[in-house]
Amino acid sequence: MTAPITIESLDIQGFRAYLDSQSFSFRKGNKPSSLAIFAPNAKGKSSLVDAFEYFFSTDATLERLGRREAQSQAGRTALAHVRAQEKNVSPQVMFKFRQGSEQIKETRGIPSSGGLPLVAERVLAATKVPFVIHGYDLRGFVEASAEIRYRELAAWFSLDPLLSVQRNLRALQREVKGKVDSQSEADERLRDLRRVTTGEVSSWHEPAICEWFNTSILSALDDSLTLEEISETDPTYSMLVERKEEEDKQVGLASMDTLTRQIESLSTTAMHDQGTDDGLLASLEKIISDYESAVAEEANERSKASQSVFNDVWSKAHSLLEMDGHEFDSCPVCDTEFKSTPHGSPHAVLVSLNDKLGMLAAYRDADAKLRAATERATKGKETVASALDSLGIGLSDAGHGDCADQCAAYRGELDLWTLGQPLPESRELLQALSSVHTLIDTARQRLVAGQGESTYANAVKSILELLQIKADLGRIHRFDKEHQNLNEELVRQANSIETAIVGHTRQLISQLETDVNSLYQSIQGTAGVENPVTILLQMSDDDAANQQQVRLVIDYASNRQGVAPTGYLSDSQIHSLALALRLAAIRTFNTDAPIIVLDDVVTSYDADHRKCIASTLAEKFAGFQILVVTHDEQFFNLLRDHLPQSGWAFRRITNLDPDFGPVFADHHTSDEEIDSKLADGITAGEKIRQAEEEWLLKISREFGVSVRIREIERPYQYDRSELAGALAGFLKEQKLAPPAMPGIANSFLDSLQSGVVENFVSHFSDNPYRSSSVGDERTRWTEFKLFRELFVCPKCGRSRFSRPWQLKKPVCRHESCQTPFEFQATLSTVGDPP
Amino acid sequence: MDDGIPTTEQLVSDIIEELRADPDTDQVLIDILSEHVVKMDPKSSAVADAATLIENLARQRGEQDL
Repeated sequence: MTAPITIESLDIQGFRAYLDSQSFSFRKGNKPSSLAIFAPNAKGKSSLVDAFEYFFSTDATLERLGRREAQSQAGRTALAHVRAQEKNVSPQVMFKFRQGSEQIKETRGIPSSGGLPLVAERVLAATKVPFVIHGYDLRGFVEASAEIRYRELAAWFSLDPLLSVQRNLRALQREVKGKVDSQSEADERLRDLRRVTTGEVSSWHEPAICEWFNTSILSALDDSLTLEEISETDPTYSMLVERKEEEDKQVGLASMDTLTRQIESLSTTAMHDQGTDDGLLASLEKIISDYESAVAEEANERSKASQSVFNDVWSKAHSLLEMDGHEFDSCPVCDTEFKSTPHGSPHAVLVSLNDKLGMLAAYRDADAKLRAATERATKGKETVASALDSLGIGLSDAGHGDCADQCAAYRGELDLWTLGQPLPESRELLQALSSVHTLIDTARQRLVAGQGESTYANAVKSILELLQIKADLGRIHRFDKEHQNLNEELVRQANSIETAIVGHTRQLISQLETDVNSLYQSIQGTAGVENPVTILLQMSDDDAANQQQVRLVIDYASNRQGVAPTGYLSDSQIHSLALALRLAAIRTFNTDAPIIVLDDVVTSYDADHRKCIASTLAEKFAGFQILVVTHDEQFFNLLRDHLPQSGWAFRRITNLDPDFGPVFADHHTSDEEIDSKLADGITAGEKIRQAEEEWLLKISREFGVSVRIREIERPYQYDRSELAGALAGFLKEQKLAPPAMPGIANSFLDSLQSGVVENFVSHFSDNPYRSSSVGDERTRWTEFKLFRELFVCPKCGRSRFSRPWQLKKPVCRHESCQTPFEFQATLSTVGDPP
Repeated sequence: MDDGIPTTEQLVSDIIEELRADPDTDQVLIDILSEHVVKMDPKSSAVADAATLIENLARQRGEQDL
């Protein structure tokens, strides 16, 4: 069994709401962990879900954006942060996954080059059910048609190959049945029957056919004869064949036919009825042509192998040089150094020997071919000579003496001809034979016409045609019968296969159904309640075509069984049903990659149901890595209460900074990041302001300063001046005055309160039109760090504080210290600002 | 998923074996079906190929009936 795939981390930059790089860990210690994120609307929480969707999208986009971007600046264009290019940020989404001990990191840039990341392919292969669940499209499966639902279930259960089997089996049955039902071949033969019987008989009924034959054909020839069956064994048939031969002899047709066959066997294809074979003369020409080619090839190979006398020497030298383990510098026979030979090395000599021995082999082949061609030519000449002799006698007997003479003359030329000479010219002989052939054919037609319709030849011809039709119809009948049997067997086997597939599908669906009910009751908080609503996934019992449907119904009450959920369940119940279905499917099928992304799935729930969902996730999905994003603070707090802190991280987005991205409550801008930017001469003003605000919030929290509760708008973010004012007021009240900072005229806290640091320039100059510079920022940053370092424990030097409610002054947070906070009198430890 | 339920591939194989074990089954026909249609990755010409083979089989058996 392979280890499941889990997420290690996700890094985003320049993507959707995220401009600067932010990292999200999905690991606590050495275990996979889950993450819940709360944010008010439009603070960038969905961008995190978008990162998942984009990374796993085969189209490299988000479903709601689509692929089109021309004109509208939408589609894939909307994937990148609007300021990414301006700030020189490469938009990308980077995931780290782990499978067993293997860590897999892959980045998908925007736009995406190439296809799906390989690791995304691996995760998708391990997940049958889409694991990103958007609250807004949850109901789709519940409200889909039975066919669509079946298709989706089939994909989850990997039933696609079975669907293909079912589809192909049905198509095959249709095709085979169509062929079985087709009568075209038999119809064609029955048309022939009608033609032969001059329209008298249209179906194969042998007595009727014999009756027609006896009446229409035989009675005119010999009314004592009767055909009993259409068969070669019928005595009348034998009698008719004999009389036909007799008839042919009487009218000279037999000798004409013999002579015609003899001429055709000698002549070229043009005079053949079939037109497929060459006559003997043409064959001889081809044989002689092949012979000439063989002669040329043999001569060629012979010249190449003219040094064949060295064959034995070459063979022995070849064996010697091929011996393993021997390196010769010089010839073992004559001591000539190889490097002084034209070849230069033993290897080159070996190659040359291979060539020479190869040539000898080719010569041997050519010689064998020539011998065979010679034999064929000799035999061909004899065959033609013999045929000319026979034909000459036949022509002479039939009164075609001139043509017989031409045959004899050609025969004489052929006797004198020897191999290697051009074959005697046969054109004149062929012309003469053609003329005789035409004469004989004309005479034959005249004879046949003179006989009239009532001839034994016509009678035999009719029977032969009827025999062929009978044989064909018998063959067609046997084929049809076998085809029909196979069709019936096909239907039987196909039904067995269909039944097995449907049974398998029912079994799988039943398993899912159980889990759906369990999760639905859990989400609804009705587990253990008597007669709860039962969800049923039902396959149709109708014919095979309708079996590819799954009805989703509920047993709502004893008198409302198998009813549509939309008619009885409330909106939130349908939502629960949809959520239960997706979660059950994921729990059942995605065990190889136990990942779930829940995007705002609690919109339509009351507090109790939210609690139930939180409990359900805690109890039933402990083995899953889950990303929950929600704008519902109550749900977020419920998750914190119900889910184990050891396996979950909970983060709040407090602000969406257009120059940075979503700002999390626990966000900490690092000194190193700002130092690095300033060292590179890059403006870090925004980061410095952010760092100042983060520190202000932290110290205000730890000192327990009083902040006035604001009006409802902007309830999630404190203003810097408001925090600075509160901190200044607190320090003043506690008589904690920060020591003056050398070289700086104004008080840092005062500057924060008055807001002048919003423009760094004004901090150092009274001229509001002077533009900022990196140098100004560097000065300001140094000054801030000096000021921040004033807030350390006077005893242990630590910088974390707390102020329990009964104390007036904050104390060092370290358990073994807890020294009340005081500013140190001098700045000796801080050093002078530049 | 429940280990008692076979995979799709296993199911296809089981169906064929079960039919083969049935003495009433036409073995040549089930061979044609398993070779072309009842399989995980049929060719696009699977149906036409199987239909032709069935037709040829009927023809061959018709000849043997003589």
